[in-house]
Amino acid sequence: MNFTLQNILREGWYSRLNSALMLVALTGAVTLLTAVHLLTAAAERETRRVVRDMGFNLRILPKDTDPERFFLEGYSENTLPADTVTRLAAGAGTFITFNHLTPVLERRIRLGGHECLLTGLGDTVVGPGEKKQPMGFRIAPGTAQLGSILAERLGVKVGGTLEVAGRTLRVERVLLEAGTDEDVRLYTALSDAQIALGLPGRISEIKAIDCLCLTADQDPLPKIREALSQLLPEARVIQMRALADARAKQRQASERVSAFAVPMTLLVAAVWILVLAVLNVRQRRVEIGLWRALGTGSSRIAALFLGKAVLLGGLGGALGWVVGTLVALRWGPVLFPVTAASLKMDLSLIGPAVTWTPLFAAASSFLPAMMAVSQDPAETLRADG
Amino acid sequence: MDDAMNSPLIEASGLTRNYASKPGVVAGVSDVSLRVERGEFVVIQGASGSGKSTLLLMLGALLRAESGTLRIDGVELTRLNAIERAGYRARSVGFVFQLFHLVPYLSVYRNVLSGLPPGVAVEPSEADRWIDALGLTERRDANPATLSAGERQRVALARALVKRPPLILADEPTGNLDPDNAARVLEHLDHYRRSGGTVVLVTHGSEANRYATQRLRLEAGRWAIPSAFPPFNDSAS
Repeated sequence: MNFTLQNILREGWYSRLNSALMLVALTGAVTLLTAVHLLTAAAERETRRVVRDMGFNLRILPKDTDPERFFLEGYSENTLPADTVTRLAAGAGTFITFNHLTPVLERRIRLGGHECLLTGLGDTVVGPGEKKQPMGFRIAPGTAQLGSILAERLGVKVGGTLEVAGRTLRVERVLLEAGTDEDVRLYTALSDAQIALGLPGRISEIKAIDCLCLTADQDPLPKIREALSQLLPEARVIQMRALADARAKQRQASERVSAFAVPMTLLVAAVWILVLAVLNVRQRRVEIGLWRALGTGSSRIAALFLGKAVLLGGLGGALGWVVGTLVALRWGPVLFPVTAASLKMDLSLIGPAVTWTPLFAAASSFLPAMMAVSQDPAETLRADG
Repeated sequence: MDDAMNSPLIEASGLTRNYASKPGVVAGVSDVSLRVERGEFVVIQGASGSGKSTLLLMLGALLRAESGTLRIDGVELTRLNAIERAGYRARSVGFVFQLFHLVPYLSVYRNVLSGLPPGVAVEPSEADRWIDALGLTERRDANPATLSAGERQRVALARALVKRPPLILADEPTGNLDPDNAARVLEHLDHYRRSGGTVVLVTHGSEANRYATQRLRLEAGRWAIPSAFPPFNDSAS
């Protein structure tokens, strides 16, 4: 083993308290960063899931939809070809602005003497590389899900059947009372709705969420409309601003926490390491003078200090990744119960942890190392005048 | 080469170096000249603050002279840059300090080994040879904290001698030792001198006088009258 490395290891063991405190600082920093990284990702997933449960915030309609009729009826009376959704998904840059594209066909119908809203839901298309997590719910052909008031009025229960335009559908689920028009909706698969309404191959809108995540004061609508006009000129878009705004605010809050926590963690760790390294240099003044007297060059003396920082950085990086991952896996499910199962260790963080932490530790120890190099040995070695 | 070997090991002329040792107090050496032949044992005496340690550190290229010339073993030290001075120390000088200055986290063996500069072709077994020669065999793997003062100074001496430098600079090497250990250290230094080395030792005491081939006294940074010392008597060796 090389002499400098041996001396680093021996000094590290001899100055156990200093080394341990430095290791704690580095491990703590990487622990926090790893945990913040994993928990921020978990928070984003949780946000996404919560917002998903809030519903879509964009409605892409046929361009000739009359807004007045749309808002009075709650759906567009015009239609688009059902393949519009696949064309939109194939457009360049679609998923920069839009995601979770869900084709929908909606009409008011009479069912068992009662008026209700028939909503046919097609398969959701998500951005490349994303796991398919359908917004709302997926409905298999031949099945139906009913709002609570509609189910009560029709007197049907889960497992029962419904006759819709000559088709028999099995009631798979009765939704909890929502306090919205969902309570009088009948959800079916898109294909069943198209048959029931005599509109094969047609949809009345594409529901989506916007990915720009801009709050209302950042005025996202012109950007969304500009994107859609290029991707789908035959359509128009309506943003459900309150939902979109809530989602954007939550996401931005999460990003702000991360943007604050990461530099603060790094700053605190850097100051901690700097102080410890300065103390280490002061404690080793005589030793440094001695190395000088023995003819040891500046680079070798600096290597004694920077080498210690690099070694502790590597160790702290690895330990920090382990502890940070354990912290996130232990407390993440408590903080984010809805998406708890998605919290997993991230092996891709090990590399950066064990390469960047030594560099960070060396950078923090650089000034003290330069102090050591520039220290006047005569001051520490003389017996007297 | 022969000329170099026949020339004095140290030739200093008009060396001056002042520094503020305490607020308002200027100490150091002023216009000091010195000539030391190879194989000499030079004892420089003086009270605290007389400038003897300053002179020693200048001879060891740890302090730069503000003025004057200093040639050691054919090398003009005042013209060397920091890297060259480190190289000079690594090759040509062994230091022995009053406070020993052993590396606290290295064993006796490794402390002695640390005296070998990188790139100098000396067998590590040489360290063991000096450890044995200085009576430290039993303490080879001991930590400096467990050694007596005499043992520590002998370790420091072994560290200085292991690379066989032409010059040993000793700053109050017996200042923290009892008379027996002090005599033992001085005997080793004298043995080194008799084997061809040169020793410059500064002290405020008189225990090294009997080994001196040249004795000088510094007072307030200047030489006191040399005739104050008895003539050199080789019978000490």
